[in-house]
Amino acid sequence: MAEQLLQVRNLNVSVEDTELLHGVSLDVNAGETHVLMGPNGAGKSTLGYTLMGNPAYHVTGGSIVFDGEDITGLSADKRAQRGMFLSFQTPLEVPGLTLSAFLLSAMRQKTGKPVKIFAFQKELEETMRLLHMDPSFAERDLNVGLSGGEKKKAEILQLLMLRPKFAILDETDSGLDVDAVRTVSAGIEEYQKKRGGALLVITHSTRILEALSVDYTHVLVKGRLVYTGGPELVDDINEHGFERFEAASAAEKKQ
Amino acid sequence: MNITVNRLPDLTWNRLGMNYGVIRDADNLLRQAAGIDTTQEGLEAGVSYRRIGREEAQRILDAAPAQVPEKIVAGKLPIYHAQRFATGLGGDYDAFVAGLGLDTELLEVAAGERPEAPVLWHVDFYDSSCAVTQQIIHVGKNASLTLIMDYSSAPEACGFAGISTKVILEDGARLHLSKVQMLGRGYLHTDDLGASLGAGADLIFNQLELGGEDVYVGAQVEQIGDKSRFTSRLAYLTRKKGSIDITYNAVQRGRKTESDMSFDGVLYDSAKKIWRGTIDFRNGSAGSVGHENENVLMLSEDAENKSMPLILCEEEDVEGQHGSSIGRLADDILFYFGTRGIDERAAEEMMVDARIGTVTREIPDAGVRERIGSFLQRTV
Ligand SMILES: Nc1ncnc2c1ncn2[C@@H]1O[C@H](COP(=O)(O)OP(=O)(O)OP(=O)(O)O)[C@@H](O)[C@H]1O
Ligand SMILES: [Mg+2]
Repeated sequence: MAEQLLQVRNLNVSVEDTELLHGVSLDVNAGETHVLMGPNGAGKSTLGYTLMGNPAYHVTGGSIVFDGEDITGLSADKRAQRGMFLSFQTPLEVPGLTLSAFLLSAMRQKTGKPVKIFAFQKELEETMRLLHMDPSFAERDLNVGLSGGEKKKAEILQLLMLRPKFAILDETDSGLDVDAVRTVSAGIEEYQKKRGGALLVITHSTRILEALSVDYTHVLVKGRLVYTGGPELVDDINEHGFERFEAASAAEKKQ
Repeated sequence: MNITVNRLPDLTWNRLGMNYGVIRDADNLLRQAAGIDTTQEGLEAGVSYRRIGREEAQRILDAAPAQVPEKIVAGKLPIYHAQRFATGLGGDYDAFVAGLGLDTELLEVAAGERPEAPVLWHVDFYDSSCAVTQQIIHVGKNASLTLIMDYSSAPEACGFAGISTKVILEDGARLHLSKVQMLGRGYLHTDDLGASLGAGADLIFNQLELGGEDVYVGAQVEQIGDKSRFTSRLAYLTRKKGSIDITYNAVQRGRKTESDMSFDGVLYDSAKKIWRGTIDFRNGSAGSVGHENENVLMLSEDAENKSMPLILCEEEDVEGQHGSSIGRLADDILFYFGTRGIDERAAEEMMVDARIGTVTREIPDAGVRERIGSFLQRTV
């Protein structure tokens, strides 16, 4: 039996007084790739943020268990230290802090040990090559002045360097040109195959999924997970949209 | 006796306690203050250093790009008239320094000379010193200079460290000036800058205020010549019961002048900070632009921050912009760092380093940058 990694049970999530997620349950086993789709405003990012522990999103019911531990009340840094990662839809810019210094600190914090600089630099260079990133980006300020596509690559670079067990990718493919999608997909594939990482991929398109082997597809509508299917669901949604799921969601709400 | 410093060039706001700063009980300073030795490295051909008396200093200042006599505008203090060569801390402080009767140090770059290596100017303040140093930096026509001044002392030392720097940039001259303050935690520190810029002159000014207890910094840059440019970056750390009082005035008089000032600070504990940043577009400054941006990271509930941005326009065809971000480390930054396993404390430290780092990296000398790094490690 596959090793259980993440169990989300009946999660209710609110911001201020508005409930955004209603009774979401989700199971992810080690190494699995799950795709999360849904119309704009359905609550996909909200779910990603909540799993990662963003304090703006309050869990008002349910629980999140990661690697056998209830992490519902843990802060984001503790979750990351236990092996979670979130790639942002819009990564932050930090003037004065270089990408390499940021990564180095993150790796130090994660392991609690000094990082061997030489090995770090070598791995950084190799990973940047894989992502077709200019090596000079390592010494540039974190995300400052980078294009949308470059920022996404920088997020995947961090994913590969930090080696989490479970990564949430929030629209990592949106706004990327064809080549960039291919490069970023190759990076994610590397994480998936060579590092055995599990994924929750939030996306609106199928392009990023072409290179990845998908285990499950979930559909989120108005804060409810209304359907779970196999990889074939992605194509189905692409063709027919979310209409039938929206109808199902309305029916579920009535009950 | 009190010394009033850092007057705002316009009193229309009239907020209590913000229009100027006060150095209290300065009688002691007056009685005890003396000169102090400084050292200079990297004086290449074309760059000269000597000590001069008051009259010669005055002659040099009087010959600077002329500060046009101005009309007294209603509501505006005639502070520029009080000083023949205007400075940020202002006339009272200037008179205090003049009253000490010290020599002036003169660093001159001959016209057309462009030495590549920076001049390193070092002042070491001994414990319990009460010392003042004043200098004129004169960069000739189309000449260029990189100058790095640093002030240090033993970590626990206290005293008074006063600096007074006047800069003259002739037409087409360029000065890349860095001032790095790494004094002991008990210092009263004053650092005054006045600059007069000719046509096409370019002043780049980096200022790091990292140590000391009570700090007063002022900069007044008179952009007299057309197309003169002024770029400044100040970063400071203020801790414990320390305070910092800052005034920067970009006085844009020539046509098509540019100013760009940024201020990055971190306040810890019960530190206090007042900042006044003025972009002053004068008659004749048509086509000029000015930007100022302030960021203050408040790492304590007890810290006190006051900010007074001001844009004054006597011309229509000018563009002035002010931006600011003041407060605790933003939640979105904390969360972003968190998703990478970095906790709040480490995130704060990294953000402090980042702020200081944006100025440190502009200082073109690896040795000085290293000393800044070890000073920060020692004090944080
Ligand atoms: N911090 C917040 N404060 C208030 N409302 C929020 C907040 N975050 C999300 N919402 C609301 O919750 C709903 C879900 O938003 P969310 O960003 O999770 O959607 P999404 O599925 O990621 O959409 P998209 O496909 O456009 O990225 C939206 O109605 C949004 O306005
Ligand atoms: Mg979203």
